[in-house]
Amino acid sequence: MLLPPMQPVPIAAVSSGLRLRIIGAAGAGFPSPAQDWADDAISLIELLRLDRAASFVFRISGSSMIDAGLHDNDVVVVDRDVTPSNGHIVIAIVEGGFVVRQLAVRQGVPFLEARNSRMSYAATVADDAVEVWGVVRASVRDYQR
Amino acid sequence: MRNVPLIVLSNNDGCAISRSEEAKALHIKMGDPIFKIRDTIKRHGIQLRSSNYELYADLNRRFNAVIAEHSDVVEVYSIDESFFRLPVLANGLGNVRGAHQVRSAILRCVGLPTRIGLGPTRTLSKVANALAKATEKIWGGVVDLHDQALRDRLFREWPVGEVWGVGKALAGRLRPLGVHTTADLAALPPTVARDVGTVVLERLVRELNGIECDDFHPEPEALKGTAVTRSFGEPVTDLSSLREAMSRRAWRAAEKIRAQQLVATRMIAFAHGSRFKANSPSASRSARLSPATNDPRVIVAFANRMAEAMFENGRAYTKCGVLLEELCADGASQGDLFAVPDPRAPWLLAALDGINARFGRDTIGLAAQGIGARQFDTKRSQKSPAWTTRLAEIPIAR
Repeated sequence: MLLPPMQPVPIAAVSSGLRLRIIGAAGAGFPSPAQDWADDAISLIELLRLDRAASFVFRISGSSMIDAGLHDNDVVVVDRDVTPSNGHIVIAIVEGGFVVRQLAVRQGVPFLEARNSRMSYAATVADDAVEVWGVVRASVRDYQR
Repeated sequence: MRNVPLIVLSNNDGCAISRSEEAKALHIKMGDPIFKIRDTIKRHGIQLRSSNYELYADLNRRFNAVIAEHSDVVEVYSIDESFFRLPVLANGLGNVRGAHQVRSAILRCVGLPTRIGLGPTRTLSKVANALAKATEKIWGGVVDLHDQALRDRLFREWPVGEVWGVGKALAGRLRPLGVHTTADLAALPPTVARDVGTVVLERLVRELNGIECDDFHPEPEALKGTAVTRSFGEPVTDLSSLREAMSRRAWRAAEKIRAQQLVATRMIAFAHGSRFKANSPSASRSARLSPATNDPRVIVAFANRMAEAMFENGRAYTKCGVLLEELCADGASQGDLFAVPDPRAPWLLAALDGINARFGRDTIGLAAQGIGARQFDTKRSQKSPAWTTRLAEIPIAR
């Protein structure tokens, strides 16, 4: 049976997570000497450990953490299987909504602090009314957005 | 939503199918139709949510993944319950500390509060689990029933109707025999148990005494048949809607058996009207599929023809469904002497399933299914987002 001719795929059309694999045997010419070494494409799922039960994905809105390198619209991987400690960037529930802040322990008191030198944000004491939901482990930015 | 009375609604947002502790305290019952409890909902500010199966399935996957890190076998029993093995300690008692570790790992990683019941049989673990729920404040959500003396003591207080598999009807038949508590049931001679409630009750009595009767099934059993049936959001009165709805059920049923590499030999389609109205329509058709198949082009075409054959003008249908039966492994089925197999079908089906797996269910389908949402689709108007499975619906942090 004839296969339709292969068309090059424009990079923009390749969605994230799509694995492209070129099988050498499909060509009619000299068999590729590399075909026995063919490997799967690099997996971002593996890199970001998205397949773990404790990994969740959030989107960042606003610029409260811009000095820490988190921009509006960034997607972050949040790990619940980590004990939050001083310096971690965390997702917390404050007054019923999710916020992203840095956990800073000052004189034994944990604070949730924004990282934006141009705007002033109130620091929140991470007391019983605040729930630290998870620790930000990685961020993904789409520069075309 | 914590500490707030909350009700989860059934398909079509009709009845309460799950209630938070706060909602239970307001006397909301399982299966209560929402229109009957409108006043209570308003008065107490009860929150309503449609079923969010995408989220439940994903949390269940995570829940089982955490358990699998602590146990060599995990048997998924339902959307919120699993059996797993935790080896007993040298003294023959359950590993309570290990169970607490599993429990806190699930809470930490997935955020789900759980209770764990330990026991030498599944029935005893189920009873232990129910006891763990009732005694959560005292024992922290873990109860071990490996100890016979503890069982004897607790079973005297535990009503027989609370035991897994003993329903209201059976509890009623046991009462004249003087069986009121779980201890009474455990003491029932197996032969008497069989007379009152078949071999199932006999097995249950043995299991209550610590004798495992069912083999542990870590692998789910292969499907023998599958059914995709759904009520309509609005009654259907025209043939083209019924055909589209039937085609959608048929497509989904074929998809389900393909996922298990099975083919169907027999197919049944049905449609009926409201059970609460007299003289409602009710019809079904069946067909033999030869050769056995999981090809939606064949199955959807049959579904279409059956819908046409069933439809009566001027009647209102409220539900339809497709059943695929006599399933067998793809490739193991008998061929059909007169059928010419389509050599490209496996590739086409793999491509369809690949596209829908990657880009979401129903990205590609047959034209017979119609396109987009229809009035007959299930209503889930109060659904919370698919927080964990759809990029467009992930939570936002500010």
